[in-house]
Formats: sequence, C-alpha cells, structure tokens
Amino acid sequence: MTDRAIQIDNLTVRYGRNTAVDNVSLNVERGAVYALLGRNGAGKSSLIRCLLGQQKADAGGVRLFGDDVWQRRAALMQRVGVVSEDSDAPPEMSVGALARFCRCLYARWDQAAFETRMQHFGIGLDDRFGTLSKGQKKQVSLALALAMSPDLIVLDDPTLGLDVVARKALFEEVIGELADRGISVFVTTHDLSGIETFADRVGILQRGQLVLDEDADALRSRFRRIRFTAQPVALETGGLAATRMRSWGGGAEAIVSNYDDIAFERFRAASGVSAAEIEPMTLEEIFVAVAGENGGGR
Amino acid sequence: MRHALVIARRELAEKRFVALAAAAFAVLPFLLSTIPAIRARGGAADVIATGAALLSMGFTGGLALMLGSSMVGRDLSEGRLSFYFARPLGTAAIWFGKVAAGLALIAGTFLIIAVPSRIAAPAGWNHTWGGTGWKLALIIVGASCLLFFLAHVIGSFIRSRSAWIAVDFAAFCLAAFGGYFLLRELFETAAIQAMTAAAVMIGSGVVVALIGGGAWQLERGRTDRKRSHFALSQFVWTAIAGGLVLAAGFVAWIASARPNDLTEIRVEPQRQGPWLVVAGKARGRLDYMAAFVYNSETGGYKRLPVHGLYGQLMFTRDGNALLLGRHDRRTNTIEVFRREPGSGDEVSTGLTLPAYSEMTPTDDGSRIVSAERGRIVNVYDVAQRRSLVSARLPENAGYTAGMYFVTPSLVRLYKINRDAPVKVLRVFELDVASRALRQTGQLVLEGKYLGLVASDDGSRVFVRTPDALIVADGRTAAPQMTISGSTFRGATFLRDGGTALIRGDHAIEIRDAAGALTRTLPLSVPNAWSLRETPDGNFVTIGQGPDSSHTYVVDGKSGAVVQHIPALPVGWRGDLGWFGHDPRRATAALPALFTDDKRLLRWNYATKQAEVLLPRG
Repeated sequence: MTDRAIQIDNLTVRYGRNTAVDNVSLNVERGAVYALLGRNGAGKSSLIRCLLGQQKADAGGVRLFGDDVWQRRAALMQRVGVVSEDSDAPPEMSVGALARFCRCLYARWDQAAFETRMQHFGIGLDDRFGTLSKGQKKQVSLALALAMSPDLIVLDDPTLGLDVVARKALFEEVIGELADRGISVFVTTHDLSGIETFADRVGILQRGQLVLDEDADALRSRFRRIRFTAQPVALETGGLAATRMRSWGGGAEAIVSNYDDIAFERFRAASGVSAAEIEPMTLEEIFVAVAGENGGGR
Repeated sequence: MRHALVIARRELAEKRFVALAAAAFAVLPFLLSTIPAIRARGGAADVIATGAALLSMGFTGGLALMLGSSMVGRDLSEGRLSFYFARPLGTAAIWFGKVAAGLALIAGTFLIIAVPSRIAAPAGWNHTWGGTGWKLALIIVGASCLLFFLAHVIGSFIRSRSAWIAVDFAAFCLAAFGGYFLLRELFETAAIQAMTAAAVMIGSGVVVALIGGGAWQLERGRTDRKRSHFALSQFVWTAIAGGLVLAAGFVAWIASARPNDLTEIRVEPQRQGPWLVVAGKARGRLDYMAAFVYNSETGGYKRLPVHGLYGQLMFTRDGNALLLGRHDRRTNTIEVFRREPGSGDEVSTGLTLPAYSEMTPTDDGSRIVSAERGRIVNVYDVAQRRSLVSARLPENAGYTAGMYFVTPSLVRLYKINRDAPVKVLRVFELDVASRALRQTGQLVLEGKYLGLVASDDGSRVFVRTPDALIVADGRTAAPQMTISGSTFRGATFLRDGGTALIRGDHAIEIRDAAGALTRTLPLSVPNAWSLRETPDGNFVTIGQGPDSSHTYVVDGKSGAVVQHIPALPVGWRGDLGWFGHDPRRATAALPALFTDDKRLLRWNYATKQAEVLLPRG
C-alpha cells in the first residue's frame, strides 16, 4: 500500500499547439493538504481533470492511492470527493434527490452527516439545486463530497465567487472534517488566506509549469519582506536572493526567497546597514511575489 | 447494471414532463373527434385512430431527435458531464443508463398516445393502422430509436465545434458511396437475397456504430468535448468501415464463384464451336447468378459480368461473337455489347435501345436490327456505330413474332396484330439499300395464334393455331399446307423438303414436300414435345418425365428409341438467349452437350455414357 494519496508524474496536457500542463510532477502524502496555486489559465483545471480521470494526459500520468486514475477512475471515485469549480449537478434535481442519487453509488454514504450539514448550512432538502445561490451550491457540493466518507477530497477553486462569509463557512467545514478524519485534500484556489492555516504543502503553477512545490512552513520561513531606510542595497553580499526589489519611501523593499538570520547578519555586517525592518510573509504575498504581475497565466 | 439503472431512473425523473406532454397529446384525437366537421369526414373511430397514429409518430420522432441530440451532447457542451464522471460510475453505466432512459421514454410516450385510441376505437385502429397495427407500431418505435442514436451522433459532432467534423463529412461520403457501390453491384445483378445479406452486414456496422459509439465516446473522451468528438468519430467510422469491409468481402466472395461452383446450370451454346455461356446460382452465393463464357473442350472460362444482363445474350449464328444487352436502370435502356467468345474484352457496340426492344443480328453480328416498342424498325451498323435505316411499321402491325436478316441488306419481320378478333400474320421486308419497307404478304388465322417457327433458310414457316399447323411461304405467308388437329407436340422441316410432326403421345407423322403423308412412326416417348431431324435421318425428341426432361434419339424408319439421354440438349430450351427474335430453327447436328439443370454433360453416343463437364468432381 502506497503512502501517497496522489502521485503525478511528468503530466503534460496539450490543446493543439498550446501546452496547458507542461511536464508536471508532484506528490501528495496521505492525510496532507496540498494547495495548488496559479493564476487564471495557468493549467489548474486541466490538471484537476487529469487528476480525476476525466481527461487523458498527452504524456505522463496520475495515480491515486497507487492506481492509475485513467484506468481505474470508477473504482477510485468511491474514495474521492469532488467539489468542482462550476457546480455541475443537474439544476432540476432537488438537494434530497441528489443525495438519494449519490446514496445508491457510494458504499460508505453517510446520509445523517449530509442532512446535518444541510441543516447547518440552512439548505432544505426539497430545494432545487438550480435555484440555490452560488455559495449554497458549493455547500451542497461539499456536503455531497464529504458524505461519501472520502479518503481524498479534491476542491477545484471552491470559493470562487463566494462572499467572505460563505468562504469562511466552506473552509471551516473542510477543516472540521480534516480534524475528524484526517483525509487528504487537494485544493486549487485563489483564496490564499482561506488555506493559509491548513495547507501542508504548496505548489505554484505558472504557464503550465510547476515553478514551486514546497512544504508550506518551509516556504513561509524562507520568504521575508525586508525594508531598508536607505538605498542602494546589495543583498547578494550576504548570499540573500531578492525575488523582487522596489523603492519604498526613501529606502527600498526587497522580497527575499532564501532568508535566514545568519545570512542576514552576514549581510548587515558586510553592508553596514543598520536600519532594516524584517517581516514574515503570507502565502498570498509569496504567491504574488512568485507569480506576480509578470508571471501569471497565459 | 445497477448503476445504469440508477442513471436511467434519474434521467426519467428529470424528463417526466415528457410523459405529461404525451398524455396531453393522447387526449387530442378524442377532442378532435368531437368536432362535427372533422368527424363527418371519416367517423369518430377513424379520426381518433388516425389522429393517434399521426401524433404518436410525430411525437416519438421529435422526442427521439430531441433526446438523442441533447442526452450526452448537451451535458458535454455545458460541462455537466463531470457530475457523472466524478462519481464511481463506469462509462458503460453512464451511456447505457442514459440510453435506457431515452428508449424507455420513446416507447413509453408512444404507448401513452397510441394505447387509449386502441382501446377506445379498435375498429378505427384496425382500419387506419392495418390489421392489429402492432407491426406498424414496432416500425415507428424502431425508427424512432434509430433516429435517437443518429441524433446523438450528429448532435455530438455539431456540439463539439471541432474542425474534425469536416473529416466526419468526408467519411460519411466515403461510407455512403462505398455502401451504395456494394449494394448496387448486387442490385444490378438482381441478387436480392445477397443484397439483403450485404445490407444487413453494413447495417450491423451502422447499428454497432450508433449504439456502441456513445460508450466509446464517453470512455475515451470523457468530459473533453473535442476528444469526445474524436473518440466518437473514431468508433463510428471504424464500425461502419468494419461493416463495409465485411460486406465487401462477402460481395467479393459472391462474385468469385467459378463454373465448378454452379449448383444450377443454364446454358446458351454457340451454334458451332466449343464455347457456351453457362450461368446459374452458385454454391453458398444465395440468389446471385454467376455467368461464364466456358470452353467445353478445354474447361477454360472467362467470367462474364452479370450486372444489368438479365439473360439478354446470344451468340451470332456464325458463332464468332457473343452479343450482350446490359440494362441501365436509370435510363431504362439496353446497351448492346459485343465480345469474342475466347477473349475477356467486352466492347460496346454503341447501340442503345429502349428496354424490352426486340433485336436480331446478322449471322456475323456486323449489323443489328431492332424493333423498338414494336413499331420503329432500325438497322444499325456495328463497325460504323450508326443507324443505316429506320422505318415505322403500320400502327396496327402488332407485336413481333419473328425478325431476321435474310441477307445483310434485307430484314424480314413477322408481325401479329393485337386485340383484334381475327389474327393476321403480316410479313414485312425492309431493304437497307433502298430504305424501303413493304409488306410482302399476310396470313389470316382462324382462331388464336400460338407460335411461329421458320426453316433454317427461312423459306418456309410453321404457323401454329389451336386447331391446325399451317405450313406457309416464309416471304409471302401464302399457305402451302394445313394439317388439322390440336395435339401437335412438335414439328420440323426435313432436309428433303418434307415435314415431320409429333401427333399426340404416340406417333411421328412424316410428309413429303407436297404435303402427302408418307409414313407414320409409332413413338414410345412419354409426353414428347420437340422434334428435330438428325443428319443421319433419325429424330431427336424430348420426353417429359415426372421429374425432368429426357432426350431420345428415335430411329427414322422404325420409331424405336436408339438412345436415351437423361438430360436436355443445351440451347433447346432458350435458357438465356431470349435476346434474339430470329425464328429460324437450325437443322442441328446430333447434339453433344446436355444439361439436367444441375450438371453440364457430354454424351458419348458410342458408349451411351455421359461425361460430366460441370461440376467436375
């Protein structure tokens, strides 16, 4: 039995001459939360479709729990809950009918849990899916995904178009479930603040290529924003790499991607800089720094 | 299976409004029948039944189109198919679940509309639908189901918005042309059973393509619209190509029959020479008629394409050419071809005639006379590929009883008037050089005309009526002798100028050139029906046994049977050569080749044994 919930090897997806996903490899351990970040058109949705066995890769492959997902999709989906970017459930079905439909398909369906969540979200079982608000649709999709007691949950931009309250509610529900069962989570999102507290590992997809794939804590520890009161600043004298440098007030602001205290002290001693303000960065800030204005999707 | 049912149930629940619409349609015929103006036209029962028939047909057809085009195609184009693919559902379950729901809706709505009218107006139903109507109902539902699958394929192609649709169109054209070409090949040879079998093979490919295509599309393309189109396209055209290849193999196998495969044999022989046309059904080839130009001495053969032939072939009297008339169904004309018996080349003579025209060539086939629609006589020169003379016969001339070249420049025609109480045999001659058509004589017949046979040189004719056999001059039709009686079974002109005929079952009467009865031979051949003189003064006659015809050689002096051959001489029955209208009967040599319908035989008169030429053991 493999310890990996997801294993993506050299995945490539092309649409004509465009390469949407370019030789991407990544792994998600069981029980881990993996956040895949990327701007619009970076190739996240194509990767998700391949991850769920809904699209065949042009090269490479995806394994879920050790099995090839293209070959064994139907069996694997017993263990995978999905909340898709566009709520794809038939709009004319009632929430109760959706649950009845899913109940026939899953061996570990938990009807009570589903109904409890619907009560918690304030959504009636007789409500038609098509008449629900965007946030409610996401909540129903999440409840359906969790009620089948998954080992892996895949969230494709689950908070897209949701207001702050709905986003908070949705992530709280996931976090609660994670705490209860320790399921693996693969999430693509723009809502970086939402995953800040529970992402174990972060990947950044840029123009189809995985430009960053790292443990979230390590990532946060090596990125720093440093503000200096004077210019110019030669960070390289201390062995520090500035991802971005810009003027700030009368001084300068640098985003450093390999910060550590010893290296900074070495820099300070060599450069004679005494006044510097060092701040840790959020995932969102790191994402902007890595995939910023010039490094977005296609 | 269980998952397919889950999906079918969901699809049915989603489209339950269709059943309500069908119920509303079911009520419509009853409402119409209450309108006096409509009811006055055919009675309430007929209005209800006719209305139900038309509405059920229209409703199920429209529903099939709508469901077929949207069932998968719409979900795919709207990105909603991922709902199913994100569940533990096999692609077969998704496809067949949706198909089951679609077909159930089609059949169900048909029943909802049709059944109330069947219960309420059984008489009208029987009258409108014919019989119990269930056969028509099955056809409607079956056609709607086919439409459902077809709409799915076309709908998926269109909704994908892929340029690949150009390839689909090209493949469709190729498949349609291929299917048409294969079926036409068999249709042109009138092989209806074989054509049906080939059509079933092609149809099987189409059915597999339509039913299995969706499953393959979902398995290979899943939620990707373009890949889904590509997968469907790949499956559909592969399956149809498979059906076409199977049918092509079948047609090739059918057409590969050899003379030895013939299970029944029809023969048109050369008057002199070893060549024959042998044709007939072949082993395992259903109703396909294979034909060959066959050399009875060497066993060699050339395949004779049979499309449009329908038995329209004849050897010229000198035996040097085989003329074939091939029917063109589109123009309903016959094009005449010529080929040397020993060569495989078939050359058009350039002569095209309306179908059912009568035709006779000169002895060497260099000219052909035709009587188009019985009235327009045309002499055509094959080498020059042009008409030499054309003439119109009188309106009351009637149909052609015989027609031949007396010389290459003189055509003689025998015409019998139609529909008149008194039958008149008229003789016409058309002179090619002077372009003159004139009547050279006529014979007024008592009672019906039954047939005409001319002597080998054409100088005399037998004209048969129900009560007499008249011997007349071949040119003027002036009667030379009338032999009374109604039980003539066969007659022939003798080399010495006399005549011989079979009377009843028991005697051959021989007369001299003046008509005097010179002798009567007792005949012990059962049901004898044909008579010819052999070069050594004996007679050949055919006796009809309980199962088949046998040939008997009868001693010309005693009437005793000296040879009994359990088969028919080839060419005596006119198996294939009904193309020509030459009434002259050859003074044949002793026949050598025979057929018993299953075999071609050569008779050894010395040993009285038959050698089987076809099929060879």
